[in-house]
Amino acid sequence: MAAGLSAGTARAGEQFTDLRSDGNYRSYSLPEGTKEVELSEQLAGHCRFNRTWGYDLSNRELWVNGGCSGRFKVVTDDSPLNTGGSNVAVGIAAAAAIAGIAILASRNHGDDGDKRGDDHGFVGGNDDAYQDSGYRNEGYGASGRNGNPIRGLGGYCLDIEGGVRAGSKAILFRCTGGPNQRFYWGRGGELRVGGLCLDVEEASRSDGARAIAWRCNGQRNQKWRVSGGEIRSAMSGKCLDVLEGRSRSGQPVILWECNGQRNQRWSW
Amino acid sequence: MKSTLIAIAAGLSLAGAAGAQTSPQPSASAARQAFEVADLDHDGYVSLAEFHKDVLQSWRALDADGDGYITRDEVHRLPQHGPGLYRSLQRADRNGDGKLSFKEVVDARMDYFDHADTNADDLLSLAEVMAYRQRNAGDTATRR
Repeated sequence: MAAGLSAGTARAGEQFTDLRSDGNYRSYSLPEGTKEVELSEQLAGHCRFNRTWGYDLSNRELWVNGGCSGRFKVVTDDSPLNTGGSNVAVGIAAAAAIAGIAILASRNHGDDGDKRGDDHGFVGGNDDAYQDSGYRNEGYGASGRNGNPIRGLGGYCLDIEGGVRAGSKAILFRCTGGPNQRFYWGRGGELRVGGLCLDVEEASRSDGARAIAWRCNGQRNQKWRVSGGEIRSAMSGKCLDVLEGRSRSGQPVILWECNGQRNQRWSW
Repeated sequence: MKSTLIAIAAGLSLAGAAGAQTSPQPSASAARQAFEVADLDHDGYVSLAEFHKDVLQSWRALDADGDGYITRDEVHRLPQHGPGLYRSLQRADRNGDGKLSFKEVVDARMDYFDHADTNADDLLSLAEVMAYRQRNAGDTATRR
């Protein structure tokens, strides 16, 4: 789906763009000078930051996945929002958060002589769509109880080899719609398939570790996070990857250091 | 570590910074305050949408020139604290190119979000934030 621009209601330095995922990863090139993107309106699916939508100010890319369709506000004019890097306390708090020393970087106005002035617009953005408590505790994408296919390299599907049994390995296979290709996200970050969970074999943190189906046990090697088109192990941070980047039925699906290559991109 | 963000902001030196911990952990009250500020709709939880705002704030605070990367120079610009801060940020530099891209910053912050969100409901409660702080109090070096 192409993105459509509707400039009618935008202020200077803002524009709105619609981007729709029909279950696939879709992206849109952000204009030069983009400073911020926010979800203005959810049009379909469950749009959740960094789960089913996100953006990258370095590559200037906006993306959706997992059925999220939204209207996004793209801010290119930084004047009303720019707090700049000049405030030391804000900078330190930001660095501490990026280093993981603190979980949040938010600063209380005026608690340190902060001179940012009227920047309430920055922290007080409108996210009405998110205030609907109906979004809570729901999975994102592929959440139907019957599950959905997860497509990978070359349009092939993530598949549990030979049917869902504990210990069976994850492979790439032509899409069949079979129960061994229907996945859904559990609330604990697990990826369920046919009553079992996608699991990193022997909780290995190594490159090349196999992804298998296993009895769900809530352990960290069964927790996954999505970011863009990547599916990462919460245990090792490594990405679900098609071995050697070969798209063919039967090709092993493994864990590998995330590298942004196409054989680590999935859609669902 | 007794240094707090507020103490730093008041211009006190970071004499207490020792060993691998080169950036200060916020005091309990500073952490609580950050939570209240980040919880934009005051429902008692920091949602993914609210966390997004917090991530963006941290990004903009450090990418001073708005070129899409946080560079060594931009961190070293922070008076007195720059070099130590830069070291503590290096773990977020996954491709090791000496600067932080937006994706690296989001990935790092989301990792911490996921670690803190122990019940995996994509909402940070104050209790989860304080527990995260507590877990990090002992040793920040072993946390990835």
